[in-house]
Formats: sequence, C-alpha cells, structure tokens
Amino acid sequence: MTTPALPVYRRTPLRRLAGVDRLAVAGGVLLGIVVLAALLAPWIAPYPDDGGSATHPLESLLPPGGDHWFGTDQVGRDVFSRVLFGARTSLFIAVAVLAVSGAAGVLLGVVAGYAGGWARDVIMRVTDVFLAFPALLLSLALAVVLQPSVTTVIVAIAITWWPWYARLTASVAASVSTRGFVDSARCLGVPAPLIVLRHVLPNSLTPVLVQLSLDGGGVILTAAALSYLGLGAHEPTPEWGLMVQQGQSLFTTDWWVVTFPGLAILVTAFAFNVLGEGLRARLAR
Amino acid sequence: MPGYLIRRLGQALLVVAGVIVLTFAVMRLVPGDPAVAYAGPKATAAELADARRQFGLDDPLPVQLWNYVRDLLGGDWGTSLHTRRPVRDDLFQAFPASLELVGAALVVALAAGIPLGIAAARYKGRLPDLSVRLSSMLAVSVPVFWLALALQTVFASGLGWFPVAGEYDASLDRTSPLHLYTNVTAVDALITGNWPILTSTLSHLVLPALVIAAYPAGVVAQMTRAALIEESSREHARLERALGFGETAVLTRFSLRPALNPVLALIALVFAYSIVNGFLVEAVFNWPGLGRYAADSIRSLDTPAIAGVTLLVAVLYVVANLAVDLLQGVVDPRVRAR
Amino acid sequence: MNLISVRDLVVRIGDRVIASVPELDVAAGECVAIVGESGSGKTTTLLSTLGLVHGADVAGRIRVGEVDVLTASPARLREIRGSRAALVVQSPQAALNPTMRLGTLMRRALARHGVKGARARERAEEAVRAVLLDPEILRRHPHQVSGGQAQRFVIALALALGAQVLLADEPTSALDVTVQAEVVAVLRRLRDERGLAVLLVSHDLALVSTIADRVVVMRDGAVVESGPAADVFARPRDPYTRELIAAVPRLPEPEEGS
Repeated sequence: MTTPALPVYRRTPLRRLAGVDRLAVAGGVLLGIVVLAALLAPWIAPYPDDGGSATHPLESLLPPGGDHWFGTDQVGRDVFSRVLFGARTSLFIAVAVLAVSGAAGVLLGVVAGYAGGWARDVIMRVTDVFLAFPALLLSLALAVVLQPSVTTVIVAIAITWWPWYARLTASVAASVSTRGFVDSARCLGVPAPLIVLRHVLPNSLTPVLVQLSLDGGGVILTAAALSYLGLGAHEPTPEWGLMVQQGQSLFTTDWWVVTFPGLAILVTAFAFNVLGEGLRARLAR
Repeated sequence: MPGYLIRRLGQALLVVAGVIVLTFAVMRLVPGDPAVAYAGPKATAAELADARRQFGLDDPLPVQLWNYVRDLLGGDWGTSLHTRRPVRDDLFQAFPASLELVGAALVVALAAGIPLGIAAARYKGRLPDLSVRLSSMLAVSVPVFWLALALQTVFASGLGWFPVAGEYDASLDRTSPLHLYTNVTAVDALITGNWPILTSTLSHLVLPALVIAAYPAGVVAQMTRAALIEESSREHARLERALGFGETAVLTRFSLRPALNPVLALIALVFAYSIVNGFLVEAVFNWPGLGRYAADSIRSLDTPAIAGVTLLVAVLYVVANLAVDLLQGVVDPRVRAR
Repeated sequence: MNLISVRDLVVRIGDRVIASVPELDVAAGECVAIVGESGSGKTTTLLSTLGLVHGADVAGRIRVGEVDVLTASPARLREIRGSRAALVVQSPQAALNPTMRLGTLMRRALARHGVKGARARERAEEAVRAVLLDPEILRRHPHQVSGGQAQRFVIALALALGAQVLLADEPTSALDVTVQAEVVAVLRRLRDERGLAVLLVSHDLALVSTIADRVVVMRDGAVVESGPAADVFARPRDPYTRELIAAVPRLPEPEEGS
C-alpha cells in the first residue's frame, strides 16, 4: 500500500537496461561472427579443400605463419580452414539438437500443462527419469550402442535434452491455461487441440526461446566431448572435438593443432552463453 | 515433515525404477552380440550358446528386464566383459577415486564461486561484477578435455610443477604401502598418517581438480550473485540497513544464508554433471576412476560395465537431489516448518 | 528540542519530484504523523531521514540530533541508523531475516553499535520486556512468532539500541485490528514514558487520530496541510484533507489535550 513503486535499494531501471542490452548485443555479435564464418567458410577459407580429406604430406605440422595462420595439422591441412569448416559442423549439430528436442519438449510440455491431471503426472515422471542422467552420460551410453557419426551425436543429445523444455513449457502452459481467454475458448466449444495450438502454445514460447539460446553452448560442448571420445564425427569431417582428439599427442610439440580448435569451441559456447544470459536477464525484469 | 519426507522418498524410488528401465532399454539396443563379445570371435557354436544362456539372452525382453532388476537388487550388477570381474567390484574400486577428484573439485568450486558471487553482488553493475560474470560464463563455456590437455601440457609436461598423470606416485606402494579403509586414497592416507602418499595424491589432484572445478565454480558464482541480489532486495535487508549494517554486512552476514539454498540445490545437479565431466578429465590425466573404466568399457563395447556406470551415476544424482532437499530443511527453518 | 528537523527537502527521480517537504520537526515526546495516499511521498520522506533513499536525488537539509544526514559520511550515517533513529517496518514478519533467531539479530545489532557480552544480554531482555514480550521469544525464528509479536520485537530492537526516534512506516497496516491496538499502545507508552519522538507514516486516519500530536498531509509529493492533530481533524482547511477525513467510516474524537 505505501510501499510504492519507489526505486529504493535498486539501481535505476535505465542503467540496468543499458547494462543488460550490452551483454546480449555482445553475445549476439560474437555468435554472428561464428555463423558468418560457418556460412562463408567455402569462400573465406584460404584452403577450402582442406576442409575435407585433402592431404599435403610435405606441409605437415607447419607452425602458424603468413601462409597458414593457425599452422597445419599432421597431414598438412590448413588448421584455420578446418576451424572455419568446423563451425558448420558444430552449428549444424546445435541447431538440429535444439530444433528436435525443443519441438518434442514443447509439444509434450504443452500437452502436460494444458491437460493437467494424470497426463501431466505421467509426462513429468518420465522427464524426471531422463533428467537423472547427465546429458553427456546418456549420450555416451547411446552413442556407444549406435554407430559413431554426426547423426548419432544429434540423436543422442536430443534424447537427453528434450525433458528440460518439456518441464519449462509445462509450467508456463499450466499458468497460461488458467487465463481468461483460454477459459472462454473452452466455453465456446473450441476443440482442445485448437485451443492448444492457437492460444496456449504461442503464449508459452518466449521462455523456451531464451532457454534454447542459453543451451546452445551446452550442446556444442557435449557434441565436442562425444567427438573427442571418438563417438561422434569421424575423419575427414572437420569437427573441433575430433581435431583436439587427433592432435592431443602433439600438444607439447605442435601446440597449434589442439589450441585453435579448442578455442573455437570455447568462443562459440561463450557466445551462446553471453547471448542467452543477456536475454534471460531482460526477460526476468 | 514426515508426510513430506515419505512423498519425497516415494518420488525418488519411482525415478530410480525408471532409471533402471531406461538403462536396460538403452543397453538392449546394442547392435553387437554381447555373447560374441564375451566368448570371443573364435568361439564355437556351443560356447556361444553357453554364453547366451549364461546372460539370459534367449529369454523374452520382459523376463530379461525382470531378471535384470532382480539381479541388481540382489547385488549382482553383471560381469564386465573386459575385466571379467563383477561390475559391482569394478565400480566399488573405481568410484572412490572419482569421488575424491570431484569432491576436491567441488570444494575448490565453492571456495572460489561463493566469494566471487558475493563480490559481484556487492559491486553490482560495476567492474568487479562484470568481470565475475564474464569469467564465470567463460568457465562454463570451456571444453574440459581441452582445458585438461592445456593445463597438463603447460604446468605438468612443460613447467614440471605438477605430475603429468596418475593418482599418486606408484613407487610409494613399495616404500610406504597404503592401508585401505574408505578406498578414497587421500582420506585413507590422512587417517593412517601416510604422509608420502598423501602429499603425492594432493599434488596429483591439483590439475584435474582445477579443470573439473571450472564449470561448477562458474555456475556457483552466477547463482550466488543472483540469489544474493534477490535476497538483499527483500524486506529484511531494509531493516538490517536501518539497523546500521553496511552493504557488505547485509550481504555476507544476513543474506548469504538464505541465499545459499538455491546454491545448494544447484550443487546436487552439478555433482552428477561433474562426475561425467570428470570422465573426460580422468582420461587425460589417467586417473583410476569411473571415467577411465567407462572409457575402457566403451572401447570394448562392454555392455554390463557401461550399464553399471550409467546406473550408478544416475542413482547418485537422485540421491544427491534427495539429500539436498532434506538438507535445505537444516539451512532454512521455513522448510523445516512445512 | 527537535530530534528530527527537515528543511526544504526535495527528492527527485530524474525530473520528477516525488517528495517535497519545506519544514518538518519532531521533538522528544512528540508524535508527528505524515498522512496521505500511496505515492504521496510520505514513505520517501521518512526513509530520507536515515539516508535510505537510493536511486534518487535528495536535496535540502535533514538533521537527526546534531547529525546532518545529507552531508554525513556513510560510516557516520550507519552509526546513527538504529542507535539514534530506528525504523519500525510495515510488514514485521517479512522484515525479520527468516534464517535467524530473533536473539541473534538482536545480538548482532547491539554488537554493531558497540554493546557486547553480558551488557548486551541485559539490554536485550530489558528492551523485550519493555514491549511486553517474554525474553523467551529471543530463541525463536520469525516464522514462530505472530505479526504483533514481530512488530513489538522490531520496536524492542530500537529500544535496545537506545534510539530516541522511532520512524514508523505504516506500522500496523499488515496486522489484525486487535493487534494494531496493541502496537499503538506500545508506541504511545514509549512516547509518554520514555520521551521518544515518533515520526509516523500512515494512510490510516483512525490510527493517526489516536496517537498523533501533529499531522502533515501530503499529496503527490507535496505538503498540502499541517498543524496540530486536533485542529487538522476538526477544521481541515485543504479540500484534499477533507476528502481523506470523509473517507474514514467513523473517526474517533481526538483525545483531550493531545
């Protein structure tokens, strides 16, 4: 009543907005650079053929220099070109995993949230079970039983990732479903699937979208870890985790073979995290 | 409280049941024939049939699941295909080493993350805050296997400050053999006063523990910051300020304890995550834990062993979550009253 | 002697003036009430006397005792908070740290102002008794006490620290009617027996009429009327004040001689 909308004990909204926006923008720009690198790789890579199975035995393990900014690997391929092409693999995996698990999670979540009752209980208990497995663990087990490939990585991670979105969507959808416009639609005899599609779904999406951008980094890291363990992409696919694995025995002598792909993973995951954090902070206000 | 306790326990048991079924389902997807893997490629038809009968692979799936659950509950976690020993014994041997590593990492993560979170909250919107936020985001973005390789190359192989790999100097087994009680080397060395092994273990722990600590330190710092900022904008903080306490005191002496609740809950999540992250680090530092065991099992398509590791970590997660829920009652009297 | 004295106070957020008070004095043994609707600037005025308004520009002159609040160092300000002028909060249960026993809060507050050991224990028990609470309450957590007990404990904090001024921000609005009377009785007794100065902020004119010696009426950040409580209630000059009084269902007669 008298605790008015005073900014007591708080910074002025203006400054907070500016700070948050800077963060989101910085993350967005960084991610934009990675996306551009991925899209333009065939044109900007100095040695486009090195993205594949080309070998140049005479130029193997050259240190970074004018011709090869990031040096060359054990079969003489340009590491800079392979890092650029690697962005395609990583972003492709991230987008595919987020799309598949996001779609599945949102669908189940909306059903659980709207239907409530036993349907919600069953779906939520199933998500509980999946959430008990750290993503990398279940992916690991799955990737072992499936054949190692990029598709395997996508399937394995997506299977462990959807419950998060189901959870999130269910809680949002449950609160949306109690709002007036959903009730009135129900009273008007609009069929349930239509209510879910037209009213509940669109109003439940924002938090999921923010979560998706926050999770991009996690997916990239998990995918790289699987490839590092030899359960994902294989030669000659340019994949950062795989590049680290192949070069790890050379770290002490030829540091560049491992360092640059690792940095690429770090930068990409960081970009997703900064962007997602900025968006979340904005949404939270 | 008893009602809450029983409901919470029932929930946990249900999840464990689901975890067992899911593990079973994943393992039955194996394309290779476990009997072949066990009996070897040159096995005769009779040996194969024998192996199949031994593993119960001829039974229908529900019967296999039932047998699996029955064996698990009876303490039989199957026989590893590559060590040819009971999986339970293998896990019993490997797990303490992983626990030692992840435990050390979490201690480091809390010791670094909480003060950093406090500093960020104290100087919110200013330079210390921005640098803590950015560095914690960096910490959660770093690929652990790469960080492990980098630290190993620089500080162990390069500068020689720390040992390259292993849990302790194996030659010490001859000069000062270790008596095992808990199977956690550092703890056993401490309680038996075995200083050579203790110091060797600690110096072997530093690098891998630091690598594993990066992720939890980052999330703990972020969570501490967020929880403190929220807590210090509540009504009670206004009264505490009006009683003459400064910002730092309001944060550390009054807001920290209620703010630790979400941080604690996070640790349960992060614990299981760190064990699995530790797999990658153990591989690099040749740490004799679950990770190395898992890596060997993966290489030899050792289904029972992989199932064992998977099950153990998932159950650990459920137990850790349960423990945290109950612990919150200790930290926050409001939960206890419920 | 004025324990609180405010001159030409102007609180701004950006270009917007959220509180403007030309003159406000509270003497020992006196209760001054600021009344008005929410958003009238009354809580801002109250908080500014302790330098507790953040994110806004505060100009003018505010004295608590001999301390000039707007020019005092942050350390000096923290010293007088609680020990000179203490806040009595709107929702006492939310204002007590949920993880802390009342006695712990009391002990820390006393230690903050230099009172420790046996003397602190004595002071705490004496203060708690002065507001008619059992010292046993010091062993409880906030969720184990009632709203009225919590509010009386908050007042006890002020007493233990030796505050001469109570800054009461809607002290009864979160409490039941019967409990409200209890808290008001405590405030009145402390004013009369211990000579405490009370600056009361409230929208509840019925409450104000039972305790206030003088009344300041605020609207949209400005003072529209002020004077002895009896005068203001009996012969309100400003139309807004009349409106406020008319809105009270049954206003008890102002007490004799107050």
